[in-house]
Amino acid sequence: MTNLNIKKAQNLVVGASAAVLVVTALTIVGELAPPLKDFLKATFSHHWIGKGAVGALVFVVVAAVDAIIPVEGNSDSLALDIYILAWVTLASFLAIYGFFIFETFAKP
Amino acid sequence: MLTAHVLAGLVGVAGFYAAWLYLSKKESSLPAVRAWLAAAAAAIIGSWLTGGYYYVLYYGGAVKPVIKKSAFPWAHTVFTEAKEHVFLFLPFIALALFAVSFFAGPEMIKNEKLKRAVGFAAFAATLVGVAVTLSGVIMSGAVRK
Repeated sequence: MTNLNIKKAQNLVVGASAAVLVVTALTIVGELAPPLKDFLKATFSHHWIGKGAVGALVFVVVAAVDAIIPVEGNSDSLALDIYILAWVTLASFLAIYGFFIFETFAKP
Repeated sequence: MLTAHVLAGLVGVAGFYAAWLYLSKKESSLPAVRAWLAAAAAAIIGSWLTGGYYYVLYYGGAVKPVIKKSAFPWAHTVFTEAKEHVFLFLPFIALALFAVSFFAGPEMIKNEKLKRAVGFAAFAATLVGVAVTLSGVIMSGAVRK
């Protein structure tokens, strides 16, 4: 197993974590700041398409930037990155559901 | 289109679950894990595209007003809104996990730490996928009421 192959996997895992965080931020900030949601709608014809497109762009760009960084891949750091991706996913899931539950039921 | 979205989503969640199960075994089969993660990635992307098509072109005009006028208007503001956004990040997780099995597969099977990490991520994706699926069930119920 070459470190190059581990590094390729790592690039995509890091890109995925960044994409999840950006989509979550766009979702919550978009609800709190309507001009952002309006911008996404005007640019991409629908705010949901915009969030998906920005998420995809972040995924690709962050993976590419990570690939350029001259750090060798190794199994331990790949495992850590995967755990980070899993926890970022779970935290983002809770943040989004929590936000909309709050907005619907608890917001004064 | 909605049926395709639901079926593809179910295949995707099944793929994550199956990958987690295989990775939980003492002796894991790399071809099986790769196949399930590939299926999960393809299915989730398919569900993303079909769901997006349905949501953008049909839901807003035809379904959302029905839910909002029903006895459960919160079904839209909580479950649709949350589901549609959480669902946006499942394809990235699916692609990342498949990439790990594809590029670092042999190491993943051999290295216990890495194998547990991928298993945990597949389990997390399964949980999120189940929650998204149940949100869809609640939305459908609100339309019927």
